[in-house]
Amino acid sequence: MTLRRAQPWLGTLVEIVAEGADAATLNTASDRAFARVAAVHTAMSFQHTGSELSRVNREAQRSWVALSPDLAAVFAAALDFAGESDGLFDPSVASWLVESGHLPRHPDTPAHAQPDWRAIELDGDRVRYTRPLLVDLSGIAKGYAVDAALADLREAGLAAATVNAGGDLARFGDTAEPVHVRHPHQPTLSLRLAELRCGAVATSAGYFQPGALRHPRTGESLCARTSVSVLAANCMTADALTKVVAAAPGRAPGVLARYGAQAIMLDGGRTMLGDADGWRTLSMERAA
Amino acid sequence: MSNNPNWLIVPAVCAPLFAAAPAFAVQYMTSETAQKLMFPEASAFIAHPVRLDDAQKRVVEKAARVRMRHPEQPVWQAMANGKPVGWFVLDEVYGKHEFITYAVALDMTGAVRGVEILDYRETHGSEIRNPKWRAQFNGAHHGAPLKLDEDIQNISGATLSCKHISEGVRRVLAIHEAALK
Repeated sequence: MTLRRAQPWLGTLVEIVAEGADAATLNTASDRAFARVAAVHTAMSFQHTGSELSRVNREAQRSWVALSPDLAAVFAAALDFAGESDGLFDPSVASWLVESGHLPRHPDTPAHAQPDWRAIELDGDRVRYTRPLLVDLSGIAKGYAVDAALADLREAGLAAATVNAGGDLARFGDTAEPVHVRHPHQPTLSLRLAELRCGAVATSAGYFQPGALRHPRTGESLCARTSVSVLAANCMTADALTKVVAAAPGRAPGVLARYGAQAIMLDGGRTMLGDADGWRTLSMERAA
Repeated sequence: MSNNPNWLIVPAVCAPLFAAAPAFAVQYMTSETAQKLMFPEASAFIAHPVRLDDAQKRVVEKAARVRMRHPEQPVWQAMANGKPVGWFVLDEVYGKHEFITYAVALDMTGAVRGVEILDYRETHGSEIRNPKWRAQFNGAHHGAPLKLDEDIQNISGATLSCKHISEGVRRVLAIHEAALK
């Protein structure tokens, strides 16, 4: 049987679809998976002053701060993506989003921090900032939460499961399922994007939150009229790579290759597929 | 890379506009199912609808910083072994494009035990009914008509904010404070 439920977490709706033998197993497994999402949400919220991340943003300006295993893992991943993309993914652009009003300003944090991911010094499970900085992990925390929840569902021995956090989704199962994406000019329309058996898809687009996605160097608003989807082995990678592709499509193929990922860019007229082999236009006629 | 064993892109994305769907709606569960899921220990749910008087309504609106559309709120008391164990509150929120029915479970102290979505609907009716708007998707691509698919699953890039639910939960907590304590 199939269970489908949703709860509000991570600033969006998180949906779990799970297949298993009986309702009790599915309820218990999905309860645990939602609890996992809730824990990641609580630790990594930039918005809440009481979150572990907010404490790090206050204290790491001055000294080393110890991190929980989840936060240490996401900081490490963020630095890996930043390094591999030469800063096209940058978890320290939060100060721009604070200035534009997309993120709240908290007391005891730097008022004018210049984004620079290299100022994040991570040493195992402790971190410090070597200059005034604001870190926002929401670019990958959602993906991390999806992966963590899905790992719980897999451990529970379910036959198949999908976790979808407002469009960042990952699944496992024996058969492929269609994945849809919204039309970048008409978000009311959904388009069939791919068939996914195991793995993840994340999409960045500007239709519901214009201006929320910024170029890490120029601060320029991205994805106003396009959407970028990335398919990767896990959701955190897919989540991070959408930002890299949106910021610099020309440099994306090298980064996509390193993570074994593929990107699809929709601009309303054309559909482009990018991966290790570069970018190519997908022909509309071929499917007719 | 194009032959990744875990996913297949090319055939599905070739003709995106052929497979366009106009709306997105999911019914997750009934109120009864949500009651059992949120209070597995309960043996009975006793209807306990709350009707706020004008003074209570003003208190709730002030505390929750949101307007109350209806003075009446469907509420059940969850009972286990003859004792009350919590409240099950049914609520609805409307956004510009969404309509969400959800339930909040409170324990006897008024702390949130859980929030569960029952029904989610995106409402874009005016666009869909507008023939001119629809026409732009016809003809341009081999004259294929808009293919309607009501139950679209697995939408990537559907980041609707859950701001309205957060406001709704705040209102439910204020109602508990005003009328269920």
